[in-house]
Order: sequence, then structure tokens, then C-alpha cells
Amino acid sequence: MKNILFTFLSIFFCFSAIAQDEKPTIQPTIMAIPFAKEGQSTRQMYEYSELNRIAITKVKEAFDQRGVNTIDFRAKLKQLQNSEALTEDQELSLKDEVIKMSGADIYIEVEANRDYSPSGNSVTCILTAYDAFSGESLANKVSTSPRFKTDNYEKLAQKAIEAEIDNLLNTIQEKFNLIIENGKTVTMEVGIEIGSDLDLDSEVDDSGYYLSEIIEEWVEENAYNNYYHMQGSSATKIVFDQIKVPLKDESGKNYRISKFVIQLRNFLKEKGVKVDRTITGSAITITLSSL
Amino acid sequence: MRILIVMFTLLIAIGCSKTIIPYQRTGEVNAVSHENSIVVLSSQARGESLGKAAYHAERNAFENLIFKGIPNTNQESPMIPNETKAINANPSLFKQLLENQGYTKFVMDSYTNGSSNSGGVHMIEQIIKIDLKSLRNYLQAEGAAKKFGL
Repeated sequence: MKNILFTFLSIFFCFSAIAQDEKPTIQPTIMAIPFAKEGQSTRQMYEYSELNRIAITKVKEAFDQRGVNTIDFRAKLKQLQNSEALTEDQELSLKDEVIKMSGADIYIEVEANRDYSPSGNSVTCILTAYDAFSGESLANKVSTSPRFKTDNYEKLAQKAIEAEIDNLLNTIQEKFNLIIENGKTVTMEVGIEIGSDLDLDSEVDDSGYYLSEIIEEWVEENAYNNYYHMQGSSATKIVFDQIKVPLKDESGKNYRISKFVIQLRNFLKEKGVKVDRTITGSAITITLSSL
Repeated sequence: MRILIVMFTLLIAIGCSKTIIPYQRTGEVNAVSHENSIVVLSSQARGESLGKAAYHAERNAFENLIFKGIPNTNQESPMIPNETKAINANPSLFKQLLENQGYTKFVMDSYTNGSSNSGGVHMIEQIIKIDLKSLRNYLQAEGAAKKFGL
């Protein structure tokens, strides 16, 4: 009897270990926020527009139903307002502050508009999903509810959102699949410290290449699948608007962007170049000077 | 004489036997309506009997929905983007779901909207109401479809 129990437990633990080896899906957190035009405050667009509030709640509900982790915009807004009194300028940059503080990976801008007509009323919702760190657009959907002779805009907004929310999520998932396959995008700006005698057209080793060319070659070799795009280069600045880095490292953990920078720093140190760096989300800023 | 009788009988038997129309996936699946996590599709198919044609239509609707996506619905993208990879990874699941009509548990309603018979071939238009949420959850639980995320 003991032997049978022992065998059963061994098999059970063996299967448990195999199951734990499988890489789980990283489920990003999503926050729906109101769309605000330039000069408008996100808070006002939320508090003064009942339709926006309804649409945001419906988007959140739809995500919750699909089992996606969501962050409540209203709660985060209140949290931010409690912690500080906002000036007018701060009001305008409130969107960035809320997104930063919320820890959301993706935010969805929701714009809801009423459409009146003698044949019936409808609501049009514009949904745009963005990567919170890179600002990259992930998906866009426009959905209009059917026309009904009703003033129940809540129901119309619900109908408009329900019609497209699955497609929005599916499009975001398609983008995720591309990220898994091709890596995630980071941007990198390389500049020279003010007052430094170094410039990017300097030769820092015996290869005969300029520093800018050496950096570009390094980026090409170290970018995921060697994919990168350089926007421009001068004696004082290089801008890479796309460098692909892997999503996971060799051990299956999330790849940290700082790893990429450490490798570049060590490489340039050997060439007698000092690297100062700032990493904000997926944006890397490098400042070079002589060692 | 006996040989002639046998041959004649065989010829009659062959002549009277029905042509078997095998299942073939087509793109003849169109959106009727969609709301929340429910989609209603119209699917056209052929079969040697009305029952067989209805089976082909339903299977065609599910295969298009899962592997291709249906335009103008709430499932425009495929639930499983790489069909070959998914079927090779889990052949018994898809045999059960598609060939053995395992999909019926996700069918909320299915009826024939119109049919015609031409030379023993039944052509049918089947209207099928599908519970997308349950289908998606089932495919995710079986590991055939990816859960939302990276």
C-alpha cells in the first residue's frame, strides 16, 4: 500500500514540476481613460461627460468579463488628487501622471459621441490602445451602435462597445504575438556630454571607423534578430527609433532593458568611452564622454 | 447467363447507390449578427442528405471561426492563428471538436434557412448561433488557444 502511495505521489510531483516549467502567459494590466483634446484636462473629460464615464465603465466591464486585469481610472484619479493640489499645468499633464502612477501596461483612450437623428439616436465610440511605456499604438477600433428612438445613451454606448471590444482585444493579442516573435521595441538616443572633447566622428580605436559607426555596428550585432532602425546620425547625436530586444532572457525571465545598456557600456568602456544612461520605460538616453 | 445476371445486378446497384459528398472547407460563411460574446453565422454547404449538409455547414462555420475569423463580426481575427501547428500539437482535440461534432456544446441555436436538391446533392443554408466566450474558454483551457497576454 505504501509503495502504491509513494509511486502515486512521485508521479504527481513529477507532473507538477513539468507544469511549473511551462512559461506562463504574462497578463498585462489595462486602464481605460477618456480621450482629451489638446488643452483639455483628462479629469474634466471624465467628470463632466456622463457618456465618457459610461463608455469607460463598459470598456472596463468588457475586459473584466474576458478575464483581463484592469485598473480603475477613477480610483487612480482620486488617489492622485488626494496626494496633491493640482495647478492648471499639472491638470493638463494629469493623463501622463495617472498612467505613470497606475502601473498599467496598456491604456485605452475612449471617446464617446452622441449622434442625434430623426430616424433615431446612436453612439459612436473610438477606442485606441497604446503601450504605456513606448506610446506605440497597439489597436484602434471605431464602433457605432444601431440607431434607436431612445435617449438611453448608456444602452447605446454599451451596444457600440460590445460590438467591437472582442476585436480590439484580438488585435492587441495579434500585436503581442508579433512582439513574442520579433522582440519588443526600444528607442535609443546617443549624445555627447557638453564640454567633452569627444564627438561621434572621433576614431576611438585602430579600426579606422568613427565612434558612431562602431556604435551602429554594435547595435546591429546585439539587436534581437539584428533588427534596428537608425533615424539619423551626426557628429553629436545618433537616434535609433527602433531597436528590437528579446521579450525573455535565456532563463525565461523578462528581459531587462538595463541589460542591453550594461552590455553597450562595457563595450564602450573598452574603447575608452564613458557612458551615462537614463532609462525611461522603453526609451534609453546615452550620454558619452572620454574616460 | 449467370455471369450476365450478376453483372446486371452489380450495374443496377452501382447506379442506384448515392454519391458520397466529402466535407470540404469553403469560405461560404457570412456574418448575420453579433452581440456581446455571441455570434450568428450563415453557412452554406452540400451533402448527400440534408443531415449531412447541415453537419458540413456547421463544421465549416466552426473551422472558419476558429482558424480564419469572420469579417464583420466580433471575431474578425482567428482564435487560433496557426492552424497546422495547433492541429499537429493536439490532433485528438480537433478530431473530437470538429469531425466528431464536439462543437455542438457551443451551438446555442442552429436551423436550416433554405435548401435545394439537385441530382441527389442537397445544398443548404444553415444559421448557427455560437457562444463565443465558452468556445474561447474551452480552447484556452485545452491549451489550443493562447490566453490574452504576452
